[in-house]
Amino acid sequence: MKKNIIQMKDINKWYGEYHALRNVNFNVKQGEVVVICGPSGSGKSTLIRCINRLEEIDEGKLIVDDQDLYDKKTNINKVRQEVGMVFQHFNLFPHLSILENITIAPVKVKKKNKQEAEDLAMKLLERVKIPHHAHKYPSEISGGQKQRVAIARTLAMEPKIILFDEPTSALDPEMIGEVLDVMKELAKDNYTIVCVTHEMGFAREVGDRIVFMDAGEILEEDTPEEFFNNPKTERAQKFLSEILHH
Amino acid sequence: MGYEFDWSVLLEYKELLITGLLTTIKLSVIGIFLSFIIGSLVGIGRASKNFWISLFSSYYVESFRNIPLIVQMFFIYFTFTLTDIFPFLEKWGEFLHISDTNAFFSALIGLVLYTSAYIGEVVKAGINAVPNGQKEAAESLGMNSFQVMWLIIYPQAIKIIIPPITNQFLNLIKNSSLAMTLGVAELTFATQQIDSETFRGFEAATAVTILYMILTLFTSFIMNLIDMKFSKGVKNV
Amino acid sequence: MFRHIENYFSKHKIQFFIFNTILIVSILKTIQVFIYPETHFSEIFTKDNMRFLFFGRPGEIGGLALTFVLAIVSIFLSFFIGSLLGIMRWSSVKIIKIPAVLYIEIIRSIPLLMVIFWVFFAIPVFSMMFFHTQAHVSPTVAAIIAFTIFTSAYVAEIIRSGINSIPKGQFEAAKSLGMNSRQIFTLIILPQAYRKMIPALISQFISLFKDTSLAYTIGVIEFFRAATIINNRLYLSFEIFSFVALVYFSIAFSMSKFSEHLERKVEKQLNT
Repeated sequence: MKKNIIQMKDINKWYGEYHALRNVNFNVKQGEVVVICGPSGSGKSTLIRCINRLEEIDEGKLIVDDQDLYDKKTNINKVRQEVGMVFQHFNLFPHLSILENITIAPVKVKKKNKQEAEDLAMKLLERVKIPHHAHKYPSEISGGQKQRVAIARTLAMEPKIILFDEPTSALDPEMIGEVLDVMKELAKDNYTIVCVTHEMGFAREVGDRIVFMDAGEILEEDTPEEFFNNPKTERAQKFLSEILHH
Repeated sequence: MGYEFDWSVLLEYKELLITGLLTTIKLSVIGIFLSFIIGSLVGIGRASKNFWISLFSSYYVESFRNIPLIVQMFFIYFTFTLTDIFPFLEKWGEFLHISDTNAFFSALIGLVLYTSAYIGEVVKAGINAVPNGQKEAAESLGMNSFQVMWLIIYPQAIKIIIPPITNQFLNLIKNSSLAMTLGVAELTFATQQIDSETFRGFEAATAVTILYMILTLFTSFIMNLIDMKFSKGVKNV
Repeated sequence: MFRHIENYFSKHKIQFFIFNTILIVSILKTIQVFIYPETHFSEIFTKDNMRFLFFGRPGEIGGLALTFVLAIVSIFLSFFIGSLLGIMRWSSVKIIKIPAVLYIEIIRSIPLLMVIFWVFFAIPVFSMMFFHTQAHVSPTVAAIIAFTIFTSAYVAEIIRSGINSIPKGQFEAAKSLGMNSRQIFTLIILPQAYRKMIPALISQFISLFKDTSLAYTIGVIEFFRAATIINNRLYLSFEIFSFVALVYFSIAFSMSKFSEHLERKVEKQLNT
């Protein structure tokens, strides 16, 4: 039995009057690939962004990699080094070259030797299949390439957990495949992955577990098989029929 | 009887003009350097989430930019004797070949306080113009707030603020003329001096106007070069 | 708790202003306690001094009142000259455009003090050249001329960017209705441009208001010169200049907050 690397207990969050997360209980085991889905505005991005404290929770307990995120002694920057994040809009640093984008955090945050970091970066770029763009700037490559660089940037920190926040939603359709291919490989590689996505094919293929959210609540948690074949709640059925018939 | 121009006064008083030009350049260069640093800190403070830092910075900005520069200079010059408070200024004055150390540094401090308040506003606007995703990406890589600001946000903000900050630098050069009211022998002072000695203010003013234009053009030119260096890679994002 | 204070101040500008003023006073007080243990504020707050500072000598206008006259008259004149220059600069006809560009660029590259001296030096020279007499212009008039010459160049730039911010479609629509250039500007473009430019014009007025203190150099007895005159008599520079700073601050700060308020209002109007 593997241990829970992410534990969320009774999480509540409000934006002013709006109740964004309602009593969320959510655990992720080491090496597990969890896909979070649900209609837009259901709180899935908020949930995933709480895991590295880009969003603050108002109530509840949040433990990542055995550290309580809201303990005063916890250094959040240390935790964040273990938790990588890939964003919908890539958020590459436009003033740095592709290579510098990947090496800046290992060199400045982890105090890695520059040469070592560059060697690792080149390996990672090869892994995401864009080694020949290392010295270009983010503005000079396509969206799919940007997202693959963003993944390489996250991998360069050698995280235990990778969070994907709708990584393919901002891409042109023909570029989605190349990003999903890279993600599928990562899923096989024993990373713990939490992914918010509308790509149901991806969820079915690599997901160990599907979490369905609506209106800030987790309504269903199941294996892909069960979830796609026998959704239990009405809202999940409605969501699936809408998303699969498009 | 018309007015007869006599441009030879310029040659006769070239010493005065050259000293004036040098003093204006000293004030401008040191002033730009210091007000850029202080202004950047104030601007970062203005954009800060910490209530007290942001209150202090907005207090700094509002105070110094809403009081006329000449009032600030007079206040500093007449209520403090800078060389008594900071004895090392005496040495710096000698090093910079300044005749009236107190007046020079009073004017300089006034210039820096005034301009850095404006630069602070510019920097704050630049920082706020950097998309929030940049901060989030940097934070999720485990950077601390200093690294996020210094490695990611500020370099991008700088690019955005170069044109407005150039304007503030030019304003500082122009405002350095106010130092003459404290008797600092800079360019505008030289104009007045030549006029009072020879009644050739028109000729002197023409020469000094051209010198100011050269100074401001040169500064714009340098800032354009810097702008071009920064635009590398930052286009169309 | 801090967030509450912050929200409170952003909603209540006047309270922020009062808070700020109290801060300034307390900082001045600290300086005073350490450097000037003994102050004589009571000596400058006499009826005569205050009347001189705010209204000038009996029978003539001076002090803060003159500061306002200088600023208001100059911004008024600059508004018209600047509008004209701004439109000239925007034009595509070279004979119209180039003089405007030269004027704006030269004036913007020299200090206001130089413009003041130019007016002071040039008026006698020109009157010699053209009228063969020595002209006498009062310092106040010379200051107003200088401020107008200087501010017009800046107003022109504000006007030009205001015109540039109007979508091309507006020009095309006006043209296709058969309007001539003058009608296009006065009926369609300028009314829209002015509304967008109000905040920029107010901040130009605020800098002009502060800049009027430079009239000091040619002997105009406005607020700042009045203060230096009192200082020369009493030698109470700390008291006098901190009071002067506070008065300038209160006025300029209130105006800038007012302009921010207007800016938000204009933005709302343009968005709906």
